[in-house]
Amino acid sequence: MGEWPSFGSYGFYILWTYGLTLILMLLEPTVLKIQRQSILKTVRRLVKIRQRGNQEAINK
Amino acid sequence: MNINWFKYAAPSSFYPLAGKLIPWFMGLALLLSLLGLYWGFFKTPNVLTHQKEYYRIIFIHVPAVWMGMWLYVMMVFWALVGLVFNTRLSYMFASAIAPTGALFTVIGLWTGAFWGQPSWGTWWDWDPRMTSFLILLFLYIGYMALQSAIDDSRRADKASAILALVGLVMVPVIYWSVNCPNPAECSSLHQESSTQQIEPNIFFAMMVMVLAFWFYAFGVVCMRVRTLILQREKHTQWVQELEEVQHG
Repeated sequence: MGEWPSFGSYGFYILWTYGLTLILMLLEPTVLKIQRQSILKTVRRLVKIRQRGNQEAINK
Repeated sequence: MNINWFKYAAPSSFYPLAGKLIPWFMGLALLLSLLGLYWGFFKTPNVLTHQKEYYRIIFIHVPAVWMGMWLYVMMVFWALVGLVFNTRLSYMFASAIAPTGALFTVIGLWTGAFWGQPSWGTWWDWDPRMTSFLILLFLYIGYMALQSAIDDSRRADKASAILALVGLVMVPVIYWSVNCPNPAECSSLHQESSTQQIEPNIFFAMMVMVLAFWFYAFGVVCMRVRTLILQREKHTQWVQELEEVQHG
């Protein structure tokens, strides 16, 4: 492994560039995972409603 | 081996395939990012011609700007396929690409500002490249806003596809804003694209980062397409019979 690079007096610019990119690129898939879980919950609720409807129809 | 590609035009066939591809795309994106950053930080010189250490912003800035433009072209391609063949999945692809394209455009603008300050002494300038790239971001935002403003998803898809198609004119404008045929006519802080003159290690690290961003985009777009499929097809039987729905 090579030597750790010198940033001179430019560490602020380099860290802000890489830091924000990392945050945004981690945030996107995380938000998508949360969104997906929420939609799956909705679908499960729909399935339950349908099953309840079918059961009520059978009971009648 | 004979693969029936049209089979995957159906959301029900594409959904499980995308699920299998996502870990591969994300894994490759991570590996390539690590390689690109290692190469960019440890195998490259501290100075690029007259630019000092801050030139290392290049490993994020250039790939992000390229992705912003390429993803727009990809988005228009899928929107066009949707308009011509009226396929649901193509529209979903176009919609899924837009937020990722906007994200790369924001990263491109942000990193550009952080590169511009130490090299030109300004965070922002109404230079042709920056201005045209900002318009690209507005196009992405306009596309997403139009889509969410119309309740009927089929109508929203068509309207936003036309908007995306019209906005395609910005991509060559962005390219020509620095590669101007007559440089005297377009004053720009940006220099002309010159990948041939670049130091080989810097070029290698940059290209690896471009590949990493492509795989990241593939992975995230597949994730978003799966979410869109669930959202739009939630009333269908195949979605309600999915394993993750049954055993969640």
